Amino acid sequence: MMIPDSDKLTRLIGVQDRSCTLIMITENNDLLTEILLWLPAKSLIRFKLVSKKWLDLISSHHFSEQHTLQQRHQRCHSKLKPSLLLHLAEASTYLYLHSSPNGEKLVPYAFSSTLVEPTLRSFSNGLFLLQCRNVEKPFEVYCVYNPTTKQSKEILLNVDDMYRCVLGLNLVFDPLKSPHYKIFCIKATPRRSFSFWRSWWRRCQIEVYESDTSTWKLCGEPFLAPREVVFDHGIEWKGCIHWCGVFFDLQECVLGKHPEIVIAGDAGTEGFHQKYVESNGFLHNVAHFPEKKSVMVFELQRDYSKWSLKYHINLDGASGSLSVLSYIRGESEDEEDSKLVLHEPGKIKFYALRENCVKGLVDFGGTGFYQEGRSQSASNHTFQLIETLACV
Amino acid sequence: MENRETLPSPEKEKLTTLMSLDGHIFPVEEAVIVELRAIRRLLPAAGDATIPISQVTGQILAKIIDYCRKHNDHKLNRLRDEEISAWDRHFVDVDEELLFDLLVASHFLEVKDLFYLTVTTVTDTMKTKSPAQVGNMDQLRNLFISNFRLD
Repeated sequence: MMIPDSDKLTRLIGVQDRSCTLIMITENNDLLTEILLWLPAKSLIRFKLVSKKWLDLISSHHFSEQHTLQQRHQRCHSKLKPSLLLHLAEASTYLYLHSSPNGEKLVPYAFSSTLVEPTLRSFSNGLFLLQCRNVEKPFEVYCVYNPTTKQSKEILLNVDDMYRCVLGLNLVFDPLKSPHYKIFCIKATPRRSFSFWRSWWRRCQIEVYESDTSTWKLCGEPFLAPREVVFDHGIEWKGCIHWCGVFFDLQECVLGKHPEIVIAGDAGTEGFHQKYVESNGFLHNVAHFPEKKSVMVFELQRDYSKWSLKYHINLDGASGSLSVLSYIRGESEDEEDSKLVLHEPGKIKFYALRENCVKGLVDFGGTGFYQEGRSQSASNHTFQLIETLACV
Repeated sequence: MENRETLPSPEKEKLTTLMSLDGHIFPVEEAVIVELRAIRRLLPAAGDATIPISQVTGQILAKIIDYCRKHNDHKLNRLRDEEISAWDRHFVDVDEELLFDLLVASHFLEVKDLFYLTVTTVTDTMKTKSPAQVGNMDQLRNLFISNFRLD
């Protein structure tokens, strides 16, 4: 009577049920590997010290690919939530929003000490693209960095005679599609061309770096982009990179435009800040009207036909220099946990949208990294910090 | 072994007979066999013969069959979500040795949900331990030995 030897069969088994999607990868893996695949990245880094076998296993390329894929699947089903990393004008370091039994805390975040003055340009599924100062030369150095393993790899930008200005750098990494990452560099010619519509345009070209070949390639045709589009800090969603107003389809390599935001009443005439946020599989536009002290949250329809208004709230009790850092969409079907992450000098507030009140406050005014009185420029950025073993 | 509900049916339900390492006999209905994916593949070839499960003892096999029956009840909406979650929590609230035996057996028999339940319970306890404590976990070290036995 034959008993199947499950260790010798090579297959990928996927099972879906109501509670979870379970992917078991059985490729001559011993059972220990199967167990380790379920541990979070941080635990695995610690457990490299258990024994030589564990060190070899956890450090192997193959294991990190399997683990990264498995963790990505778990995130799809909201088993693991990303944490937030903040860059605030009034803080001397990046700040990590940390959940503890006593509530949320803000702690200074340190990159690896081998990196000189790192600035986060882009993030994607646990990997960062950093810009660092180069001590030897006057220009910047870019590197892809894994904050969990502290591995980093320097990336040299392509030098082009025509497209000399780098408007934006966007890292794209999706373990569901490939264990390799890509960097999209949006470049422009230095001279602005003046079209007869009397608006300022820039002639741009996108290049893509592929980590499996370590080479840069042209991506799509050159195009004209309005001067006011900011090509940095793009959000990856549904196979495209999204910036305010435009998006780039990574498959077709073409640029597209988002539908216009329709704002009722006279709110549309005053200035407002827009921020695109991806949360739980949806793309949102969070519009903040500082004078009216109100915030509107829009969701982009999956067919890109329009933005639907989800929330319109008033923040009358807030002080003048309030800004919106992020929007977190509730996981349940009725999104009851949806909240806004708001910022006032020295404070982070969590605003529960369904209950219309502040539920959670982090006061970091008294901490060593808070620098009171620094100008509140528009350079507050929010990044997602996800644990991963992905190789850079 | 718990008593099974006898459902009225026009024909007698086909039972498959499993035999554990230590010779215990378990007649199981199709709903349970479906969950033991490694065994399910053998069914066409097995016919009416008893299938020996030489890697799993009677105690463990009984518990796994119990798990499959309970989850089948849940699928047929005889149990609510909270009830099955509570039952699962109680099921894995056992000593480390038994938990690992269930983990190894559910992996071998390919009972995916039970493997997921046992592996997350084990990794939850591992997360709080230091590398030295994990290195001292006898059950994990025994896995190296048991894997060779599977050949």
